[in-house]
Amino acid sequence: MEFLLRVWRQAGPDAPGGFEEYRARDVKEDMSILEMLDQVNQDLVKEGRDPIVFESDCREGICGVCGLVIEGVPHGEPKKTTTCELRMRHFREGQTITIEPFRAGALPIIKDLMVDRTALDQLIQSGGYVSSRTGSSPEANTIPVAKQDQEEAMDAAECIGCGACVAACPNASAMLFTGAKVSHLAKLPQGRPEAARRVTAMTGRMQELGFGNCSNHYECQAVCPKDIHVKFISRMNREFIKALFKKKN
Amino acid sequence: MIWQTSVGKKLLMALTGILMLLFLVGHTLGNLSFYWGADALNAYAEHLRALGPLLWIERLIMAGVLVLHVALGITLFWENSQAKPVRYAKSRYQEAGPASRTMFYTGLVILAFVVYHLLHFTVRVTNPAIYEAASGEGHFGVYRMAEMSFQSPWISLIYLAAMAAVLIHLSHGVGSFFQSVGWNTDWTKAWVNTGSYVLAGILFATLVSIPAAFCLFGM
Repeated sequence: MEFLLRVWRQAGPDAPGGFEEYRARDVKEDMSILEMLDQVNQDLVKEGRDPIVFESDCREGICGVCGLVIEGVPHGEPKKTTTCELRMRHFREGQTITIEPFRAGALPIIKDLMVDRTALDQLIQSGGYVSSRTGSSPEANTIPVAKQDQEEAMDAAECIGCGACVAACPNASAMLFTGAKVSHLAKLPQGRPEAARRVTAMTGRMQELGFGNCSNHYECQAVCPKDIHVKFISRMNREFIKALFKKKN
Repeated sequence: MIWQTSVGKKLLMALTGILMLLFLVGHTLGNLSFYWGADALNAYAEHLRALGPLLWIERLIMAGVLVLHVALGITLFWENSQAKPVRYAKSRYQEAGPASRTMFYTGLVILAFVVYHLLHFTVRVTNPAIYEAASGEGHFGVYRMAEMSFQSPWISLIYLAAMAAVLIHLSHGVGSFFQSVGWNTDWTKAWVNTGSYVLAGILFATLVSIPAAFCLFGM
């Protein structure tokens, strides 16, 4: 297969950027879009040109490092997919493919297609954890957890922190990311005691880090590679209301 | 912290929004007295006026709610544009419909209409000829005023456009209320969105039916 790529190139965080066109030749339909970019980069290196910078790690959809906006959709159009899992067979032969970095004030561009996702880590650092010492893993079932609660917590815990929700949101809001963490921990007995403190700290930090507000567009859910539901945002809102009425200790 | 956080602002947005929705439902039910004829509508209007101080308390509450909702809307709109300084060259929405993307603009249209509606019906400054004709029967005839107002194609068009904005605004707003107050769960998510469209549709149809009835049947 052959494609024309329109790729965003930007030399550094404050440098002006722009689109450049590249031709991708001899692309196999089973290649991932990252493998296709690897191939294009090899040619660029051979020609002595600067290769396109993008991030990736596991390339099996679990690490959350890769993330490109492909044809206007973070992680590309197919649902529940990370960028590394997106195969070239999803594109039409000869198609022009536009590739942009994630766009959000809170996730500044480092170079080309690579963005700085420190803000997501800072968000977790503000309360997305359990602060009690738990020691080594406890005996199974010492703390009984209802199956329904456990499953819902695990659905929320599936978040790999890729940031596609922020990238897809027209307001660059981190609600789905934060909502998933708040819900995951609030649903489990280990996280419950700190639920009020956590939701207050994380929602406050979200604002400080420059993420936008939620307009309930639900674009985040549509692009989430782990199919995390917006009901977790609603649960976070509920936890927030509960925290408002809770006595400060 | 309710003012400082995104979640808090959305919560206030939802609560002020739902209060205005409740007001609109009440207003719409009141307007329905039109179908019982001129005397019924005029009597309904007289009863409202007779509430006196209660009417003023209600007006003050609604004015506060409106100001808060509009101020928050503008704040959220501004903050959101700041949070996404660079837009995508190519962008394809997956889920967001026209309603959610135009909340700010439909909100502005509704705000402009509320101001106009108050100037026209409550303060009575926009159409002196209509007010004079409506006052001629010893008491102020709301029915006559509505009838004469809807005889003007301009007023009817403005009304229709504003009601369309209400329809679009509510079709997203009602569902958003459930999401923002934390009531969007596995149990409610199936009917919340459909429910918003149905409620917005019923309100729109009822409100627009009155000028339509004047037009079609000359009631």
